[in-house]
Amino acid sequence: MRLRDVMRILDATILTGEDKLDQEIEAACGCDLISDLLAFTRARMLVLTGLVTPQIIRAAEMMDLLGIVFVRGKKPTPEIVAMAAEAGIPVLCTSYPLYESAGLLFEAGLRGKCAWPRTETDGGAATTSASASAGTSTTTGTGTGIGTGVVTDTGTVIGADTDDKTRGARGGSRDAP
Amino acid sequence: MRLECKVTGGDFQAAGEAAAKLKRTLRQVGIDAETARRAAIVAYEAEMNIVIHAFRGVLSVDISPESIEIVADDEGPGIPDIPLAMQEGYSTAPEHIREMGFGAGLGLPNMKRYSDEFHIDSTVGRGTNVRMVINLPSKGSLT
Repeated sequence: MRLRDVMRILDATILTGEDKLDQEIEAACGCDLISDLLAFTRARMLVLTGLVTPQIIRAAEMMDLLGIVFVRGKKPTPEIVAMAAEAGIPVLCTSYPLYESAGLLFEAGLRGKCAWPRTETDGGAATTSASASAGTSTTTGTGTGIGTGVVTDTGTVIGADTDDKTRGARGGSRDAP
Repeated sequence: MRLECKVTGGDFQAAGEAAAKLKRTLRQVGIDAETARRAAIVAYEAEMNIVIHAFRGVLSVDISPESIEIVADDEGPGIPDIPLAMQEGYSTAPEHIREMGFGAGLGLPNMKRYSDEFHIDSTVGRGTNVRMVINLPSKGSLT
């Protein structure tokens, strides 16, 4: 899927990175926590987030991510956009919430390829304990659960759904959170 | 080759600049993208830890033909219980830090995960020293 397709599917505006609209996006993740992003995503992904801070741009730059989509109608400041432009990271904005944005992209064929669940055994970081502890530690305003799991989770739900009526109302879903 | 950057505690505006500079330098000297990415991630986490928890610190990087060594040395409160701090999900970051998307309790585990060698030493009331080594791929396996 190209970035241009992401823009169309999410009815998004682009604030910087117009020259990269034909770039191929291989996978995406939804994430509102920087450390989750750093822990679980891979290079050449698109990140969907409601976290509008300069640090999300910096983290994306470190991770070699291919773009950022700000969801829920969040608008970055001109400084954040300038930072993204300098780092060469396209920035899109959509009114859809994180869950719906992820679902729409997943439905259109864009999968999540996060390193989740993890399989390493470094220092007892077993998958179950990691997810449980991450969940309990992030129950704050921005801690929307285990962020990087969102795409996979929604994908499971949507992918298993056999009733197209429940997931085709793209245009009418924007007012219903 | 050696790089050294001062990092100021609480300065979220400049936070991440040292890691970004390191990443650009690594790519300029011909380090492959994946290795540069790993180095950038651990440097970024280390830098953010100084910004979030310490008063000030220095992030230094030594690049040799075999490896990249990243050292984060700070003056700060130190870590009373390192095994606890290494546990995923454990964080002492205050609420305003969490609102910025940090404080998931993954900083130190991430540094360990992406490093080939990870050493941490801390003295309560003085500061923390983290040393990480990332081995460079042998020339034959460079992509």
